[in-house]
Parts: sequence; C-alpha cells; structure tokens
Amino acid sequence: MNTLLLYFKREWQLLFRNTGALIQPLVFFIIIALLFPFSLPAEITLLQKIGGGIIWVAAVLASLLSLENMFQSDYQDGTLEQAIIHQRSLEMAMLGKVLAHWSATGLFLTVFSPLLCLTFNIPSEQIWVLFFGLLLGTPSLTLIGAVGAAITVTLRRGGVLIAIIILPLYIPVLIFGAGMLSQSAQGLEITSQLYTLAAIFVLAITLAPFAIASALRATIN
Amino acid sequence: MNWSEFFHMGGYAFHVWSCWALSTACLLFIVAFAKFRNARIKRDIARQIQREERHQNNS
Amino acid sequence: MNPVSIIWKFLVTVYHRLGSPREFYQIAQYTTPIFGLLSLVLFVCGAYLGLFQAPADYQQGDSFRIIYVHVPAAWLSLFVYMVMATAAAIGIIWRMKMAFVVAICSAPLGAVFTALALITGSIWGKPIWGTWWTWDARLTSELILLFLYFGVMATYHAFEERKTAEKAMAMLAIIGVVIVPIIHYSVEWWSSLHQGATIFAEGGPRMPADMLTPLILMILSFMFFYGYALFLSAQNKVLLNERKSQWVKAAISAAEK
Repeated sequence: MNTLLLYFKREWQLLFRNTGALIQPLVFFIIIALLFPFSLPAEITLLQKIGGGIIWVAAVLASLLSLENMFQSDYQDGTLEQAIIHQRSLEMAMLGKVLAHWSATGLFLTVFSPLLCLTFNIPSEQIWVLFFGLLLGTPSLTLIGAVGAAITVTLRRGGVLIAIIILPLYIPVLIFGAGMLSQSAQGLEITSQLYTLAAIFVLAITLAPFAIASALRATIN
Repeated sequence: MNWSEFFHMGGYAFHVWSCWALSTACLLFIVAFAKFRNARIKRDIARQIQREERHQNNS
Repeated sequence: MNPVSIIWKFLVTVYHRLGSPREFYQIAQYTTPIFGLLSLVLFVCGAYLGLFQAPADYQQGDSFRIIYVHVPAAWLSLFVYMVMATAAAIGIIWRMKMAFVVAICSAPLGAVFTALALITGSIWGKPIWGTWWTWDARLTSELILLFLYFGVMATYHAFEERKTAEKAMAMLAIIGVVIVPIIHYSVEWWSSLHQGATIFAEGGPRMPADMLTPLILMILSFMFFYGYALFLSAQNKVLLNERKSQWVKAAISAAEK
C-alpha cells in the first residue's frame, strides 16, 4: 500500500512539473468532440441524440492519446528498470502510477464533460448519466490501456500499435457507457449497465496490475 | 437432377458458389504460400551453407 | 504399472519431444501429410454430401448451403484463438520454444478463418436479410475478433528481437482471451438494443441428419486443415529460427544431395 501511495505521489509531482502533458489530452478531447457538429447536418435534435456517443468516443481517443507517454519517459531514464529490479511489489507500484495517470487525464475529462454536454444541448438529467458513466468507465479505459502501453514500451514508435491493440479491448466499456445514455433517453432503467461498468472496473483493477507488471518484466531486460 | 439445375442452386448460384470458391481459394492459398515459403527458406539456407564452405576452403 | 500412469508417461514424452524444435521438425515430416490427406478426404465427402445430397432448406432454399463453409470458418476462428492463447500461456509459464511458434503461426491462420466467416456470412446475409451487413451480434463479434488477430500479428512483427516479440505477443493473446467473453456479452446486449434479427438457425439438434452430417464433416475437415497448415508454417518458422544450428544445416544438405 505504501508503494502505491509513493508512486501515486511521485507521478503527480512529475505531471505537475510538465503541465503541457496534463492539458493536452483535455484539449484533444474537446477538439475531437467539437469536430462532429461541423461534419454533421445542422440539426439541434440530431446533436442532442448522438452527443453522448460523440463525447464517449472523444473520451476513448483522448485516453488512448495519453497512453504512449505513460511509461515512455520512465523507461528512457532508467527508472522503470530500477523499479523492476528493486521494487518488491511492482504490481502495486504500477497501480499507483496508473491511478495517478487516470486522475490527471480521465478524471479531468469527466469533470469537463458537462461543459461539452451543454454545447450539444443534452438535457440535464442525461448529463448526470454521462458524468457518472465516464467516472466509472475512464479508470477501466486507463487500466486496460496501460497494459497495451506496457507491452509496447520498448518500441520507439509504438503509437499506432497501441491503438490497434487497445481499441478493440475498449469496446465493452464504450458499449455500456454509451448504451446507458440511449437507455436513459428512452426513460429506461440504467442500473444494470452501471453495475456492468462497475464489474468491468473491478475486473480491470484486479487483473491489470499483474498484466502490466509481467508485460514490463517480459519486454524490458 | 441435371447439372444446370445444380449450378443454378435454386436462384442462389452467385451467393453459394462465390462462398465456396472463396473458401477453397483461401485454403489453397494458405497451402501454396507455406510451400512456396518453405522452398525459399530451404534455398536460402543451402546458399548460406555453400557460402560458408567456400569461405572455409579459401582460408 | 497401471494404465493411467502409462498414458501419463506417454503424454509427458510427447510433450517433451514436441517441445524441442528438432524433434518437432522430424515428427512434423510424418504428421503433416496425414493431416493434409485427412482434411482433403473429409472436404470432398462433406462437399459432395452438402452440395448434392442434403435437401434444400424449406425457408432459405439452396442458399443455406453456404452454412457448410461459413460455420466451419466461424468455428475455427474461435478454436484457433483458444489454441493460440493456450500455446501462448504454455510458452510464458514453461518457457517452451515450440509453444511460441505454434501461437505465432496460428495468428494468420485464425485471421484468414475469421475473414472467411465474415465474408461468407455477409454474402449469406444478402439474400436472407436483404443487405450485406447487419449489426448482428455474431458478425460484429467476428469483426472485433479479426482486429484482435491483427493486433497479435502486428505486435509480433513490431519487435526486432525475437524473444521479446514472442513474449509481448503471448501477453496480448492471453489478455485477449480474458476479454473475448466480455466483448461477446457486451455486443450481444448492444445488438439486442438494435433489435437485430438473428436468422441463422444453427441449432444442432433441430437440423435433420442429412443436413447435419455434411456440416460435421466440413468442420472436421477445417480442423484437420488447420492442423495441416499449422504444421507447414511451424516447420517454416522452426527452419528460420534455427537456421544457424547444426541440425538444420545437416537436414538441408542431406535433402540437397
């Protein structure tokens, strides 16, 4: 547990030293979402209907974008190698790192998503559904994505490969996150989708640290 | 049943025959590709052996 | 000695012999043609029974004969993934060289079967649904499966060092096997929202025997074909990986003379 907190704090300090990396995913998220109104027929009702889905896709792409430099700098300056050799619980350390990474990207996106909802004229009760969906879904996205980032960390140009590996694995989260919105738009219950998202999160947070640690041990030598 | 009726497939000739042809072609392609690759790998290794032998004879 | 321990000993011997690339190469020389021949015989029988003998479906007419290539391909697409992930796990846990070879050689074969299942499914959908593509749960899952295969193949080819590439690919295959059921479940739920009509009535027992027998023959034929193609490409891979070793050189020079 101490290792987790230690790495969480360390990651936060590093992120705040480099504010550009902190803000870029957020700006990317907003720009992607705002591209859609330009490419669609100018109908308010249409945007209202599909706005939630657009925001979800933008969130998925933004969290994908931030993955590449998750382990990259630590790998290049040798910190990761040191952690693999000396850290007794690499799993906990990496979990701390990933959670810090999420709070700097996924949590930010979630906090700013209601603003985007306003530009799409999404009704207020749906904004809450989207907000809680993102809050439950983005940690799973970051955890699953971190596994892909760990597998590709030694590659110089791993960006496209991460996308190919990870995007298919994001589909369940996307389906339940965005599906929740269309369910609630029809006035249906959404508790089962919320539970499923929570179950995916629990599964991700228990399995991902082990997958990340063994992927790092396998590829870095 | 005569042959033209058989090839007609009750009006679904295009669908049925394109599926069967495509599947057979894919399977044959896999085998041909593997055999071709096998011949090339063996040829490359044989050349490498020859090169090494020549190198040994010269030195 | 009781029979169980005899069988166990036999299995352990087979495992150890197949585990060494050299022994595998020698065994594969004999097994490959057997698998190929079995696959061919079963294919001819299945095709004859399926195209000539099986009666036309009372709803779909003769178009249902696509089932004899579509279902085997779809079946194999999942089966190959399971084999690949199992081999990957064996390779990671017991550091077995040949397991990685099996996993890597399976990936392109699985991708071909998945693509075949998709294309034949789509051609079948045209007369039945009236459209080439429906967001039906099975078709969509197959499409995602195809991308998982692409991911595994791309990962292997992205690394320069073979050992790292093998491990990275194996990790991804194992992660995929955990997520495939979740993807399948989520896609099923999602397509029930879209009310996608599932017309494929592939239920086993409801099918009369003269329709079912060719299907089983074709599935078996595809299975043996997978074994055949796997042996062929695994032999290639072994030759490439071990090209510097003495036994490969000896085998090649012996074949040259």
